[in-house]
Amino acid sequence: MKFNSDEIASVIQAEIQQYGSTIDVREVGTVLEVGDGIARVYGLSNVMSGEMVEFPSGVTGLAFNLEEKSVGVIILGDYLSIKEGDEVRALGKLLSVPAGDAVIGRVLDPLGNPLDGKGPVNATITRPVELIATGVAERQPVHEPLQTGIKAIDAMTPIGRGQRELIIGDRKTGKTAVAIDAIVNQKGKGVKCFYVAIGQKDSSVALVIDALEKNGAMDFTTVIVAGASAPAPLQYVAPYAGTAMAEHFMYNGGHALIVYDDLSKQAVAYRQLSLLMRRPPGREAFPGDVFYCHSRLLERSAKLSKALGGGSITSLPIIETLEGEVSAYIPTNVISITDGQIYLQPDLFFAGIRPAMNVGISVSRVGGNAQIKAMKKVAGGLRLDLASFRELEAFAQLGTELDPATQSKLDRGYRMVELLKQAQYQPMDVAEQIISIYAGTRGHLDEIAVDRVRDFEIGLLSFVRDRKPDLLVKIREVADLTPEIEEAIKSVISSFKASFR
Amino acid sequence: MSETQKNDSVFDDESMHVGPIYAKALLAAVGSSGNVDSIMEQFHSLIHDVFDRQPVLEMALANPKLPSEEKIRVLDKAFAGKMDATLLTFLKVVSRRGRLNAIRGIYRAAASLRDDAIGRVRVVVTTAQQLDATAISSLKVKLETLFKKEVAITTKVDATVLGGLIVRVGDMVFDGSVDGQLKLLKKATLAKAEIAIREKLSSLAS
Repeated sequence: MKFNSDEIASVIQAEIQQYGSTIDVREVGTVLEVGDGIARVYGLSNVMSGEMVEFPSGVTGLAFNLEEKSVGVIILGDYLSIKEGDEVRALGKLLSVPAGDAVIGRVLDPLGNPLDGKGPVNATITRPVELIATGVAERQPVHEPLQTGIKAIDAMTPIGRGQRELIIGDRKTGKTAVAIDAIVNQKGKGVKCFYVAIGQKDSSVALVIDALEKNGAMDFTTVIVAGASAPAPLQYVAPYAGTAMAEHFMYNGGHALIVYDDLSKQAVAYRQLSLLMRRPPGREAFPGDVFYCHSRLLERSAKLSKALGGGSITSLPIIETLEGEVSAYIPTNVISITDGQIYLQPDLFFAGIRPAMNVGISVSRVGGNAQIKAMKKVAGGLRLDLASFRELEAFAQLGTELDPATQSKLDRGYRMVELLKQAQYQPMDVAEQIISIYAGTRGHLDEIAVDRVRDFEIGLLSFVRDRKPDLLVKIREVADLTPEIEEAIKSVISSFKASFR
Repeated sequence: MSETQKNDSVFDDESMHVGPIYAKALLAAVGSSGNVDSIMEQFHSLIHDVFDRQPVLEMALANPKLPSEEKIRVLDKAFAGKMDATLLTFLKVVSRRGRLNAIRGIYRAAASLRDDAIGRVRVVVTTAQQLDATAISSLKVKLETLFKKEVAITTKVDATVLGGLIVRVGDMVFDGSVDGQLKLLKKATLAKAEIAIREKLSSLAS
């Protein structure tokens, strides 16, 4: 493509002719010292906390610490170009990022600059990065489900639109995989997705983007990246920037899903900034307001009232624990802020139970409101049954003789565990989930050998898809387990069972 | 060392804290005797005519290894009779407290406190060429009517300004320079051109 230079020249000429001479009034300060991502500035006597400032190289910063003699600034960008004695200029505005449809499908840095080589972001809308969350009057209780497509989660710890569900676990337990599956499952459901990668290797982020592209999820997803090599200030603002982009859809009556991967790295970046700014360290050397750092972020996920359009932001924050230590500072903080958590355990992961969700301590505080009625009826009690199965299983390993009732309970448990296993990038539709879980909880799998349960499930679902597609449509439409539907499911299972083996 | 001390932008936490305290004490002590302005003038000349030209003297006075009696003896020898007694006593007190290293901070704080007290604003005017006296005085009258306060003008010459002038009052900068105008024009033009290119992306491409 070639540009017609005459036309551009005429635009510039017109602009020069119209340009009226004005006096540039600005408030300035002088750089006293520059550190890793921070600068101390003398002057700027009227600057306000959180206000944007500009360095001569064009790099922007945020007034972070207001002290008697100086102003602490966090630098959003290349801090190596800033020298002592540079003039710093207050811009009198707040940091904002591009929002709207132009950011969908893009890979951006926390300031909204493109990283994917697809040209500039043609956004006409910008939104402030820091915003006070909506109040009580502007919200309504969470009642619509946000299907993650993962059987174990949708059945036992359902997530509703507007909920904040923590995904917590050690390294390499499939935390990101759960979040990616949830994004992939939003295809065709009108939910815009935002994946905020904080402090991760750029190679792992590239893998995630590749997976999203392969599964057709990049069409409705924005990836915001502040990698491990990005300066701490960018890692610190990344989740707020992602939320600002998601808020545009929420306030316009749409639905958004945002994944923060992961908030423990963001807390570490915030700790670095705070320590460089000489804020007093507290527990684990985190500053005193690290709780506020996360609570004000997660409060912005909400289900808006009908008067405001009923939009929502659902967030899936991720926290990485060390050696299963959930009682560390950041995990306890985020557990207490969120409306439930999905706890992933390494021993389950290596035992082949994937997603490696520990059913006993994973909860969703919104509960059944975030499930359709049919799922509620099919999966009710499943969580408690599985938890009690885990107890029994430990007991059974002692090798004692078991009475038939206990033995049958154990057998059911083994089959349910097998049934809840699910491969990555294969989210399931609700109706299909209901049929498989119905088969499991109502004992239709009891005669199937444990190692054939998955084959049975796959066969059953393709049988339903091929022979009884109207049943799936009906479950989706009615969304309830009426006696008629229950009969239909029963008959489908028994007719497939006859052909199985 | 002398080089870094000349630079205003060096972050010297100690003198920033100590300066205002001693400056306040000095002005209060002088205030009862009356001739504040002459003392401030002497203080100014001490910093700029003596210390700026004799950095060794300043370094020696700031050196914590020298006993304060020795410093007082030097001060007496150098300034007795020539300097106002109050200022000399003040310097001795500062020396006894081991704070002579913060003397520039004290001077800066004293000067700004004095300006506040008599309602004077300090204005730095940067131009491409040296302003002549008539230009400065007419500028002074103009600024005084604008701020409704007494104005003390310091001039600075910087060829990169190209033309016009930059007036700095405290932390506020009023940039009426040709350089600043050109930069603003460049910014505005680029922004407009970018919008125009985006809007007519298809029609501009031939």
